[in-house]
Amino acid sequence: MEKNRIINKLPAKTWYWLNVNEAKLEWNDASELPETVITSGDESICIESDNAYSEKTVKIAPDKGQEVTVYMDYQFNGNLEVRTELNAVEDSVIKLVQVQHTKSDSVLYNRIKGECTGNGRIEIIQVLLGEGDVYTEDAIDLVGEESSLKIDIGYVGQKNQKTDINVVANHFGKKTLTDITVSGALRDAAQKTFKGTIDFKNGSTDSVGNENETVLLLGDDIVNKSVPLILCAEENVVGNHGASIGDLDEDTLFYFESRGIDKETAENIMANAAISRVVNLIQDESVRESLLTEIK
Amino acid sequence: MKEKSYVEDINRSIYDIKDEEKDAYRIEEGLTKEIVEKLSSEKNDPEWMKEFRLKALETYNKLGVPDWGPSIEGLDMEHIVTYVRPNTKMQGSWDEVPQDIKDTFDRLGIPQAERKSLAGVGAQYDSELVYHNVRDDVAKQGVVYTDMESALTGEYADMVKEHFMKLVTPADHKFAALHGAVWSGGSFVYVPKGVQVEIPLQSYFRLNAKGAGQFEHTLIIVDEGASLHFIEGCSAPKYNVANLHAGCVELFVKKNAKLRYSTIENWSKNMYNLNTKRVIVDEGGTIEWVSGSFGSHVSYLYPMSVLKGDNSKMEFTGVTFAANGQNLDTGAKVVHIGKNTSSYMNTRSISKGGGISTFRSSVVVKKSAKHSKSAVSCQSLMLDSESRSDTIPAMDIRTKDAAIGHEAKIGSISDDAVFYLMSRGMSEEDARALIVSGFADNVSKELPLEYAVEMNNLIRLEMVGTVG
Repeated sequence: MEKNRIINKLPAKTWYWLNVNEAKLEWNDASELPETVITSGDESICIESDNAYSEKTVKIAPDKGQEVTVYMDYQFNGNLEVRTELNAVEDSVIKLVQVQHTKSDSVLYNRIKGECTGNGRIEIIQVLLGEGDVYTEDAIDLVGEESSLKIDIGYVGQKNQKTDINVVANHFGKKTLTDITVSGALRDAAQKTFKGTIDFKNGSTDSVGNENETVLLLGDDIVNKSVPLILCAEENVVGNHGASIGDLDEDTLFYFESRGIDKETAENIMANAAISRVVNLIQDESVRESLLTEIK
Repeated sequence: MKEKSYVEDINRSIYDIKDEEKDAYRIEEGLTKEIVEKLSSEKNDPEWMKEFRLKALETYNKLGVPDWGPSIEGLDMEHIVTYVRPNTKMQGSWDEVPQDIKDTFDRLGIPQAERKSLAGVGAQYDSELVYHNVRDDVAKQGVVYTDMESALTGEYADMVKEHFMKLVTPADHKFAALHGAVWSGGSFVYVPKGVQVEIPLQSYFRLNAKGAGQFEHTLIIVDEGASLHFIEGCSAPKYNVANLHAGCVELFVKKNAKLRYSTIENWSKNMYNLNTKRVIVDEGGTIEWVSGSFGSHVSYLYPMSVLKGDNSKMEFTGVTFAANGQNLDTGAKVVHIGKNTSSYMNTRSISKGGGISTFRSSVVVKKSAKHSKSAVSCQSLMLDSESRSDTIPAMDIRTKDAAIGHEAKIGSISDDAVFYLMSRGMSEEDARALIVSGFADNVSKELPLEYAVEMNNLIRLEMVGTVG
C-alpha cells in the first residue's frame, strides 16, 4: 500500500520555510530480504535486488573485546530500505563501510541505528557513488563512559540527484567522543541536505563532539542545504562545528592553472578528492583500490 | 570535587519599579474585531489603516502558533490588554511629561543620555509615546524623527502608507499579524539623501501596565548615501502575569546608505518578546545590527536582512544572556539576492541558572547572488549543567559562485583561565565575571561608550554572587 513516510527528522525543528525539518519519501509494500547477523570477524555483504520495493535488516553485534569489520555494497534497482543495527559493547569495535551504488531511477533509504555501551566504539564510512536518490540516517547513542563514534561520509551529487543525510550523535555517557566529517561535491542540478546533530545530554560530562563539512559547488543549478546542530544540556563539554561551502577559490585555481591544468580538470580533481579522502580511510586494500579506480 | 560558582540573578531594582496606573485608558482584555475597531477609533486611524488592522486580525485568526521554538503556552491573548494609553499627550519637553512617568525615565537614564550623547529621543510608555524630541541641528538637515501616529497623518503620510508592513507583512507569522491588528506607538525616521547623522537617535520603550501588550512600530528610511545610528532600548517591571511585546521594525536602506541598529533588550522575566525586525538593503548599502538580549521570559528574535542590491552588506553582532526562568531563542536571518553581497554574523550566548539559550540562524543565497560571501560564527558558554544552550543554524545555497563559512563552538569557562586570574589576586567571582564580560565584548565594543558600560554592568550584576 502506498504511503508517504516522514523520515530524517531534525532533532530540534527550525523554520518550516527552509524545508529541512524532515524529508518525505513515497513508499510501498516491500519484499523483505533475508536478515544478516554478524558477531565476529570480517564480512562482506552485497545487497542486490530487482524488486520494486525491498527491505533488509543487518545486525552487527560483536562480543565483548571483539573487533568486527563489515563491508556493505548496494547494487540494486528500484527502492531499497536497509536497516543496520549496531551494538558495540565494552572493549568492542565496529567498523562499518557502506558503498552505495544507486542507479539513476533508484531510491535508497539507508538507516543505521547504533548504541555504544562500555567503552565501545563505532566507525562508519559511507561512500555515496550512485546516481539515484539517497536518504541516509545514522543515529548513534553513546551510552557508555569513554564510548566513541567516528563517521566519515563522501559523496558526489550529479544530474538531478537528491541526497539527504541525517546524522545524530547522542552523548549520554561521560567522556564520550564524536567526530563527524562530511565532504562532497555537487554538480549539475544536484540537491543535497546535510543535517548533523551532536546532542550533549545532561550527565555527559567531559565529552567532546566535532563535526566538519566541506562542500564543493560545481553546478549552475545546485541546491546545498547544511544544518549543523549542537544541542547542549551539560556544562563540561566541548562542541565544535565548522563548514566550508563554495566553488574553487582563486588561489587553488591559480595553483592548478600555473601547472597547466584548466579549470574543468581542476574541478574534477577536487571533486574526486572530496570522495577519495573518505575512500582512503578504508583499510582493505582491494576494496579501497577498486573504489579509487571507479572514482577516476 | 571541583567547586562551583553560584551566580545570582540580575539585580533589576531600577527596572522593576512599578508605577501606579493613574487615569490611564485601558481597552478591554482579549482580541476581537470589536476591540480592534475600538482601538482604531481611539487612535483616529485613517480608513485604510482601520481596514488594514481588520484584515490583519483575520490573518491572525488563520495562522497557527509556531511549534519549532520555545513554548508560549503561558501567553493567553484572552487576558492581554492590547492598548493602554497613559494620561498624557506626547510632549516635546521632559518638564511637561507627568512626574511619575518622567521619574521612571529619569531612573532609566534617558533624559541624561539625551543631553550627553543623542541627537533625538522618543520615549514610549505603554501604548503611546509620551516624549519625542530631535535636536535642532539634526532637524535642520531635514532629518524626520517623529512618532508613527503623527507620521501616519502628517506630511509623510504617503511615504508611511507606501512602506508600512510591506517588508514584514501580516501573513509572515502569527505575531506579525497580531502586530498589524493592534500596533500602537513607535517611531518614524527619514534621513534625506546624503545626510550623515553623526550622533545616534534613540527610542526607549517602557511597558508599565500589568497584563498588557506593547506593539510599537518602527519605520526607518535611510535615503541614498545617508547614514544613521539608531538605538532601541526596552524594559518593564516584573508582574506575576504574562506581558507581551510584539513590536515590528521595518528598515529601508537605500543605495550606498548605511544604518546601524542597536538594541539593548532588558524586558522583565514575565515578558513574551515576539518581535519582528527586517531590513531591505539596496545597492551598495550597509546594515549593521548590534543586539544585546538580557531580559524576557521567552524571546523569539531574529532580525532579517534582505540584501537585494548588488554589493550590499550586512553585519550582525549579538549577545544573549539567559538566566533562570528564561528561554531566549535569538539569532539572525539573511537572504542574499544581489551580486557581490556579503554577510557576517558573530554571536555569543551565555546560559546559567537553568536558563535556555538558543542561537538560530539562516543564510540563504539565491541563484542570482553570484560572488556572495557569508560567514557565521557563534559561540556558546554554559555556566552550569542546569542550563541549556543549543545552536540551530541553517544554510541554503543555490549558486556555485559563493563562499560560505560557518563555525560554532560550545563550552564552559576554562578552569585554567580562572586559575590564572585568581593567581593574580582576583576572587573567583570577579575572575568569572571578567571572563564572561570578555566573552561578550563582541557586542560591547560595537556600542557607544555609555551603552557598553550599561551592558557590562548588566553582565557584572548577573555574575555577582556567592562562590562555593
